[in-house]
Amino acid sequence: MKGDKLYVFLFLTPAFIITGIFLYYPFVENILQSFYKTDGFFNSTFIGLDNYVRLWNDEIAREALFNSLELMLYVTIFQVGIALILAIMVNAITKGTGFYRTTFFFPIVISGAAIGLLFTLIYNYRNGLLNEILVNLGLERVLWLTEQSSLYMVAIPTIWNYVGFYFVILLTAIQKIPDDFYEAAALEGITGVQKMFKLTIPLIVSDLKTCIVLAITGTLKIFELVYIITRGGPGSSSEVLGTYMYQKAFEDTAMGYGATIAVLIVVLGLTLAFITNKLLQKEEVTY
Amino acid sequence: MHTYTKDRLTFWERFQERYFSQSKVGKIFIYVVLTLWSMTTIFPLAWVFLNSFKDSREIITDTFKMPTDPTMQNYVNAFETVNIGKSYMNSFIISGSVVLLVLFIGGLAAFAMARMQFKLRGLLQALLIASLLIPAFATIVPVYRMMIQMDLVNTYLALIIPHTAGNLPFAILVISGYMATIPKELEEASVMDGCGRFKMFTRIFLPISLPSFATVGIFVFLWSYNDLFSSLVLVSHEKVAPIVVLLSNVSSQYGTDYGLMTAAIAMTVIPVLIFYLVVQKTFEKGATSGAVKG
Amino acid sequence: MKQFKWSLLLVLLFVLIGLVACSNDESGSTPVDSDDNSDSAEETDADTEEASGEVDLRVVTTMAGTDPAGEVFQEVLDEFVSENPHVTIENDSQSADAGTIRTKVNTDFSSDNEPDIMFYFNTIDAEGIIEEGKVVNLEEAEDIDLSGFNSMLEQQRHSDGNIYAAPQSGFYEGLFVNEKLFEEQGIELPTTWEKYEAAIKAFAETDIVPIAASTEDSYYVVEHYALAAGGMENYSAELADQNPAWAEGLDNIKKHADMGAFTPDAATIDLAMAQELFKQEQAAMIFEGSWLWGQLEEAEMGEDVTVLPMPVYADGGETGEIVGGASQGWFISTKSYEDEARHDAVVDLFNYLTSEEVIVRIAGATGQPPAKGALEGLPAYLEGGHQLISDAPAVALPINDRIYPEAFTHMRTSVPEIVSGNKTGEQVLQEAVEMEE
Repeated sequence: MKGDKLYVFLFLTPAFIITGIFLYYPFVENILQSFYKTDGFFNSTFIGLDNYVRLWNDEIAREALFNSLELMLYVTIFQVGIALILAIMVNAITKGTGFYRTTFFFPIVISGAAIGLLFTLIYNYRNGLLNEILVNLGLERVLWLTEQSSLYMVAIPTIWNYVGFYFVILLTAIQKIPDDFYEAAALEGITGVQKMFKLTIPLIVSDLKTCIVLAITGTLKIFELVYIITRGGPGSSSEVLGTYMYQKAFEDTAMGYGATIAVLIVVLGLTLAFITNKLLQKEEVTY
Repeated sequence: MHTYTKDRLTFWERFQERYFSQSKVGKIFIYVVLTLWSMTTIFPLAWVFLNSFKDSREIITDTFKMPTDPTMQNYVNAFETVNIGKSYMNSFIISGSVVLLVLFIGGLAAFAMARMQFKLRGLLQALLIASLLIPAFATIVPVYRMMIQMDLVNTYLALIIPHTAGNLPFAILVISGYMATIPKELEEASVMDGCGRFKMFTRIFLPISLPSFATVGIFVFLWSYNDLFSSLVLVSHEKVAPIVVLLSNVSSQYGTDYGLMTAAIAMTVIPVLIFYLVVQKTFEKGATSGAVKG
Repeated sequence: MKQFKWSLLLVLLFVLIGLVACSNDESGSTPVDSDDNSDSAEETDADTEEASGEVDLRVVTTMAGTDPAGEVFQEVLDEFVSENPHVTIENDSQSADAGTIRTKVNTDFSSDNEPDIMFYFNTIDAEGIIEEGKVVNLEEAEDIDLSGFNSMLEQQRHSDGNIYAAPQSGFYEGLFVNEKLFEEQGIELPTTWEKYEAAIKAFAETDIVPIAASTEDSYYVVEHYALAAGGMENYSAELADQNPAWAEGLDNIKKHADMGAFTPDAATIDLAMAQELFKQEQAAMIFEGSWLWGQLEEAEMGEDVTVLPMPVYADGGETGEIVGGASQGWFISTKSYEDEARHDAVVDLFNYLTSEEVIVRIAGATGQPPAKGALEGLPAYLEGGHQLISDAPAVALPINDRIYPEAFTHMRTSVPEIVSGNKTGEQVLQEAVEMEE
């Protein structure tokens, strides 16, 4: 459209000024810090790329990276997947929609600290809910958080906690689909499950893409639940980039190295989001 | 507007009428699945509320049982130490302003991102995604420094501004994702009607996208309202502190007074749930009764 | 209908903007906001202060939130203000649990926004602030009264030989034992290393966990095992020495873990959960600090518990040596001390806060040993703890207060790997040293 340039400028400027000053600029400072060995305030020595070299050789960071990627895979598939199924189901019923919409939202409003405590009390070895059930059934106690299982044990609450978030976004998206699309499809004889894949999903693909990007970026930042439930342990079997960065920057006052991990998080997330976008590009349907 | 008011059944409603009302099994299956899931989601909230009537010891020992000797002590403690009314007010001023600012600024930007073609679009999109990845831990110190320089520490603006900045990328992405799939004919029709871009936004895209504005508004409110970390640094003073700060003062999020902690959570959760219900009731209707047909 | 919604939203927006603006105007005239940072504002501030003699001080402490001293501290401040009507005090205290206080204090000091007086960690946390000359050397400050303190004052001495902080009260760490459980099981109290190991063995055979501990959050465990293996002399060594006693201590943790000293999930529980085990009498012993008494009293088990010094088996070491001291102190910022308009008020407030009367009052709220005077009428178990300190042949601060934080975190978070046999104490120590460099 003619004259768009002016509007593009007018519409985008306020948003990018605010984020520029209060989000991008601080992050640029963060990038600069990653070239220093510093506590962030008083002692800082320029060390060039040493932090990056260290990150490259850091075994714990590597484990945290792979754990984050594994967690991201589960989260993206199950969180968005379950949310999509639930949204389609809720959309298909008439009675009780309000009830489900409200209850599915519950876990999101409770702070991570509380959800963390809840799951700690479920997994706990001596007094946890799961082991109490086992003992009552006359069985032996099970150690739920082991080096092999801990990542799955934190994946469960992580996935469950935010399903409601994607559910709300996707339900909103599904409800915008105009009826005549379905009518036309029905005339062409497309019915049943086919419809879900050939019609509903293609029509909300841009919203799904948003959800996947949000899931990827969200998982890379995961901190609180993991920190409370397993503290990244046992060993570093459930350490993720978010917890490792917090530990370095805040518990260990190694701000420079923490900043380096933050840079890794951003670069990694951008790359993955870019790849996802490219993969889904083909399937995008414009009306 | 077209005469589309009589039989306002969406396709899905017809679909389910045809297949599920007649095949009861399918319908029952859906309800069973939904109800099972809702039980898992009701559980934690019920757990929080029940435990808020226990003392700390009982929360650990008998956390999944009904309170044997219900006590209001946790609430009494919270009310005694904290000026609840004032801090709820602070929370609403801060988070309410954040929501309105984010929706207004973010809505305009989302419209541009979704419906206009320009050179830097790809780059800006990448910037937006990057900003979703920036951890709050990485930006808090520079932001606090700026607030000190601008002399805004311990004023509402000290939290409103960074929260607005932090939530804008999310809002722009979600709203523009929603706007991207709005039929092109609508845009063309409005151009024919002689609408400028701004009018096109307020007359067509904004009303159609209201449901996504509502969704975004809910989450922005929630995140702003629950953000303890930035609040403790930027607005810790009692006069401006939001409810999470005051409650964390009495219950200490990572401390051991689980009784106060659950009571505090119960008190923070209620307003958010009310907000969610109100927003849903008001705006979600736009989805089915909106002027989609133009 | 839609139009109605929009006008509603607009109205709301204006109301909110109005509220924000108003509140800012308001606070501009209240103390909240008046410690301005812009130069011009400061000058006018100083001018008006000189003219009227009014001073507005900002005090930052960790006495807030769940800290029982918070309430007493506010009372003490109120009394000072009522006696000195020209002074107003903004109490900007924040509980240390939240973890934001370090960020806030460091940013304040590095952005020319420092508080006038603060009660903060005089440990490695304050290193930067001290080295930058941001706080006053108290011994050289003429009008500051440092008399009457016990040995806790000496402990504040910085590596450069100066004292920058005046202590309030101390703490001690030790082996808290549930005497009742020991009696019931007929097991001897762990007063020597042999008895300690025997107690672990004996309890491991019962349903009671010998030691409630988190091997991830293993601060106190690591410290006490190093002390037991090396005595105070080796305990006080530098990290760079790679003291073999430290490595031996770490290996002892594995030895005892293999004997069944901890719960199977020790690697993932946190300190709070470990405390719960002890408080529910499911565990017989726990390594903790004197702050645990408050919780034990709440659980109504103070009478059953006694605190013992870590049994030391090393040659040259002596059982009775303890980890403890005063890790927090009162600081004065150089900027306020040198500001003529504020100098007198700051000094008065500082001398008041470190007077015996106030120190004892604040210590009374927590039951910790005060840095001046003594608490009276304490229950026997608390008295026993205070006795521990006064009888100790040597007292030293926790290891993590003096070594590079990253290195200590590595040591403590590696304990689960030592326990599982993936690493040895020596190896972990070696890695920690490399981090410090």
